[in-house]
Amino acid sequence: MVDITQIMRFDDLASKDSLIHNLEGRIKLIFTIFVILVCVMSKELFIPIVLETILLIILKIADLSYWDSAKRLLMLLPFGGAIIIFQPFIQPGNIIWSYSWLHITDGGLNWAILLLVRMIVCLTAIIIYSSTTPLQEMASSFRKLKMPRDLAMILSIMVRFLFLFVDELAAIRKSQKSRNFNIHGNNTPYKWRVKQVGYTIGMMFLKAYEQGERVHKSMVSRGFSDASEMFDEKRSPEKSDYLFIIAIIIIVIILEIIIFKYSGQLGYFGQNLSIN
Amino acid sequence: MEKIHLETKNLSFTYPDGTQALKNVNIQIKKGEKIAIMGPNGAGKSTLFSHFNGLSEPTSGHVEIDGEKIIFEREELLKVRQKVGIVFQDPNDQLFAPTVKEDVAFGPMNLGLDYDEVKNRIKESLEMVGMSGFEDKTPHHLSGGQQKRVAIAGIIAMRPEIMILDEPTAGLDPEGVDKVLNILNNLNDEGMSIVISSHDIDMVNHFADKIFVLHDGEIIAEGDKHQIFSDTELLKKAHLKAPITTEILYKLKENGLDVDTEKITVDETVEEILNAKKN
Repeated sequence: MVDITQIMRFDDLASKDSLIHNLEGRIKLIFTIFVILVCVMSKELFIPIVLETILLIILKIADLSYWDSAKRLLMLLPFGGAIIIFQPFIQPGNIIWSYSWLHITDGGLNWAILLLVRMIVCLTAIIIYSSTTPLQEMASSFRKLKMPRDLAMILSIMVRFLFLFVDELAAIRKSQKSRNFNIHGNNTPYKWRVKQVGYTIGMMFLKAYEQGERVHKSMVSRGFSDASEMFDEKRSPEKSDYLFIIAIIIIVIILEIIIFKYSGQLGYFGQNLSIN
Repeated sequence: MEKIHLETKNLSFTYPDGTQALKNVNIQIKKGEKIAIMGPNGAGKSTLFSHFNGLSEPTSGHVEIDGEKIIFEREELLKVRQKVGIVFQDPNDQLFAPTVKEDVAFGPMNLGLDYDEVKNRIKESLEMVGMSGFEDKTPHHLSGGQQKRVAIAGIIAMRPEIMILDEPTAGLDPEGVDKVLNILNNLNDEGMSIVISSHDIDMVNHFADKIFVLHDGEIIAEGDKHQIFSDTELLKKAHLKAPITTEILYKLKENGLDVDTEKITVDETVEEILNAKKN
């Protein structure tokens, strides 16, 4: 079962050692945003499919499991999938299938396919980013890329205390378990069990609030004010970081040229599937 | 006369709910002293500490640092907090940054120091607490003792003149306790005044030059360890336990041996017993 306590495992995964893990945090963030932007702006399937292939190769280089990554992808897919699934029925175009008042149009189907492919590529890019970058490095990358100071501070603090939150929650659950509490058990009335879960959530809110007060006090005691800055170690990207980002930009430029010049010869993959 | 570093004058504090946490507290801490404030849970130790660097404003009375009253204005408070550093009891309340180095850098950054100086202070403070090499670690992944040492490094990095530690050894294993006490003794050798709160009699016995006993928000006794620990009535009142050596000496005295119950350390106690045996 996937639950919040698994977040520890994700962070361990992100702290491994590989060519991709060792890239500078900012470079990986820029790469991810770049891939997403190029992908959502493509009107043909060709570029997203080539990008996905590249991402799958990167996944292999980063020594990540295809199976685990696919599971994470499937978990995230329904969020956008809910919008995609209605597209063939509501977009205008030539009707290719109909049953009573239900029609599927070619325009709608093409648009749904394009959306799905774009979404898979974007999610793969995000999964690679999050599986190769520890949370604290993400926070510092956002800071270095000039995220507004207050937001960056909130993000950094969240990253730090997420683990504590998980620990506290795990401790409460363990102590409940040691007293034979089972949310799916039938020994106790359903209403009572729900109430206990409610208490747990309430307790977590209270603990989080009090922890926040204490942390704030200790920060003020070290001179914290609204003008406080976080410390960022100056680390300039290395040669390999530049090579990586330049390579991906060159690949995208070549792909754009191919689409521009030879879209006719690429068949369905070169066809404009966008409805806009 | 030795210079008075930190002083409270008739300090009283009442919480908004009406609980009077401190009543007319008068204490003086001289430069370079090692002070312990002892008292049971809920005696007001943490509340008292939060007044030392202006985290709480007294209901009446005031706190003086180097003879100057704490003024509750932003710039003034920044100066006070640079001089008086507080290490909180639970490192999780203090270590809020995602990595050790960012946390240690937090105080110096707030002092407006430049990048190189901040970097320098991170290195120096982590070296002082024996945590070099942990710069990029997440505080969450450290042991309790290591977290405590990083929390101390975060205060050292501000180069305070007085360090206040709330229960610095609570929850640590004996080795962890020794390491923390070593760090504090080294800092004291360099001239820093140290104030700790604790109810660990043995630890205070080894560490402190002077002890204040706080009970129900009031200072009910002050003195050196011999005066405080030999007063069993006082310890009972403050819900503290006498050191085992004191208990032994008292029992011997009750049984008719002529021993001095003010002796505290193991060596002194052994000597007392041997002397009494000879006589």
